[in-house]
Amino acid sequence: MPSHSDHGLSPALPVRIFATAGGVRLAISHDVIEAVGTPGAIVAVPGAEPWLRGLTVWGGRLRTLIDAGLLFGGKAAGPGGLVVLKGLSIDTALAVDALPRTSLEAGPPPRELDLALLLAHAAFQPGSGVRGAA
Amino acid sequence: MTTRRPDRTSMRGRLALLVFALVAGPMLVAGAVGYSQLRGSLEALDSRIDRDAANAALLLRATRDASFFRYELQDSLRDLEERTVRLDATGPEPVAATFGELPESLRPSAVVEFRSTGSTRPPLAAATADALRAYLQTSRMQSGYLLLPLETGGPQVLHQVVIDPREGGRTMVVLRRLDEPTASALVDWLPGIEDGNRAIARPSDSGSLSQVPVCGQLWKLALEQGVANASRAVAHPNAASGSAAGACLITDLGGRPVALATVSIRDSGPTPASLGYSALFSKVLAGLSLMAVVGLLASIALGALAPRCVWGQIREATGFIFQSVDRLRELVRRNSRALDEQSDVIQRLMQSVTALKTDSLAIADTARGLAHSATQSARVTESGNEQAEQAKVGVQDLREKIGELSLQTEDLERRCKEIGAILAFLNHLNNETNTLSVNATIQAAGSGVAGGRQLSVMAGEIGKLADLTRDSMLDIQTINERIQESSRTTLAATQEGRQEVESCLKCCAELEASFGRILKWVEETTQSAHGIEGSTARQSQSLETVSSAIEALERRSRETVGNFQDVVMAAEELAELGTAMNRTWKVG
Repeated sequence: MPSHSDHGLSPALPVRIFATAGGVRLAISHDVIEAVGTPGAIVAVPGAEPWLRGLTVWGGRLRTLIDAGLLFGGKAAGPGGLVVLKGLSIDTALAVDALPRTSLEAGPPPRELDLALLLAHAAFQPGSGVRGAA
Repeated sequence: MTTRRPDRTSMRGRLALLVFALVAGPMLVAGAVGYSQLRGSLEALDSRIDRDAANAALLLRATRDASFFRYELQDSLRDLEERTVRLDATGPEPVAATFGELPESLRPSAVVEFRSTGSTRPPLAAATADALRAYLQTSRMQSGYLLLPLETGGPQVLHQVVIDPREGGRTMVVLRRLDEPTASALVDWLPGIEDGNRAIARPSDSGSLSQVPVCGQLWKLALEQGVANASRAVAHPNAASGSAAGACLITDLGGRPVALATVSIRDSGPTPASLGYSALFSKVLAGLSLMAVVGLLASIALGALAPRCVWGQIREATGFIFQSVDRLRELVRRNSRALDEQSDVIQRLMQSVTALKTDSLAIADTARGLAHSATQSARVTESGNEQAEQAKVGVQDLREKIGELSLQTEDLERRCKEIGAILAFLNHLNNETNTLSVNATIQAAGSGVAGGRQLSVMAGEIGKLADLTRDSMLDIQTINERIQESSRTTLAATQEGRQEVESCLKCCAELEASFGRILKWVEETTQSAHGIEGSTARQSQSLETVSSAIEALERRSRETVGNFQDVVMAAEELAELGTAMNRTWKVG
């Protein structure tokens, strides 16, 4: 399985960023990633779905922070990492546990996340975070 | 008539005078003879009392001389015991060194070593060895008298025997044959106890042994009293020969009587010559008494001429004299018994003083040994005290080093915590670097193939550095945690060590105090031992004084014979009573 560093040696292959969230392994395509970092202050949204952790500010813009672990069938992710997404209809960021530099560790195959898949996902539609909206 | 009256009166008077002369004359003669017989009887009684007192003194002397002879035998046997104890071997040189200083008559006749194999060294006559083997089964020294056959054959001879068991099953036996007259006389005497058998006698003045005849009654008496009390002497007066004899029983190792030592003293008491004339006087007196009876009957017939009161007084005085004589005899008997018991007590006292002197010497030896041991103990204690002080200094040095180690360990733990803080900061930096690397990778991917290659390479290198940094940090963190764990363990061990050192220091202090107390006790013991030694020396001197006092007491006991002055006084009293009776008779 390719990694970040592998991507540098083979620019023709799609670059993926590996992340872990609540026990769920994710492989996020680079075309939906704006940046990675650590989350700042988070403001909870009353009446929201459990996977909608709240709102945070990144790069001067307000972003919806989605718990990737709870969203993709795992446990709640920790506060370790933040993946800022782009190309979606709403400004969104994924809360993850960590951003390992390699995916060579033994374990189940990661869940592939790319722009098309995220655009089709109901959680990334406007107003989807409000409980009962779906 | 008037002239006849005087004639008749004169005739009557003459007749009366004649009748009076015929009656009173024999009475006067009988009275004179009776008075003479009475005085003779009193003198004979005095002489008998004197002879009884002299015989009692002779009995006492005989008893004492026999006891002295027995003590001399015991002293020589004790001397043989002491020399046997000092005897190292049976070779001629040690025997000569041990017994050479003695006179020929007191040297042992044989010094034999009995071995566990049954052999003797030097060889001993079989009969003698067999007779001795019955007494060899003992674990302590035994001594006494045994009748043993001579090596040259012949009758058995009385020997002084000392049996001294040694190590390795060996037994030293020292034999000393009593001198020839003693030995042969005893052997001849022993088989029977009939009258006329002989025993050993030692006249008190010549100092040598000789034989005298003794009767079987003396042997029976000695045997009966000797079995009950071996140290008691007996005495038996021989009235026929006019001599007195004392005796002591000599027993063997098993307490059985084997010999009788006797001493005979000739009775030198006076035999009153008046007793020889007593029979003649008695015969004359019988005739005169017949006359006195006739005179007495005439006197009774005459009435007032017989002085009845005088005869009553004479009877009373005679009864009193007989009572006094009985009392004198009882007094003599009691004095004799008292002197006998006094002699026995003095003998036992001498034995006790001798035993006490021996114990005193043993105590003095023990005290010297104790003082020597105390001195050695004092040296060992001082050495131990010095070692305890050295150990204390070492433990104090150890305490200081443990304190330094504890401080260094605490400093190490503090520095480990500082390293942990630095590691946390480095972890933060590494996370930031990793994030930067990932972002750079994303930027490189978004920049296309041409622009993003260099950025991608840089991002990869940064990521590698971040990985290396993380791995190093993990290693450092692991090492730091191990160091912290070790330092905590070291600190705990240091605390335990410090407690142990404190406990050790306390023990050292107690040990030092204990050594001090031991040293003090040892000094007190040494002083006590010296005190005991001095006391025993003074005790020995006191015992010498007591021994001298006992000897003086014994001399006094000899003078106790003077107690018989009471007897003399009683005799004088009798004489006075006789005088009083004489006066009464004259007055009557």
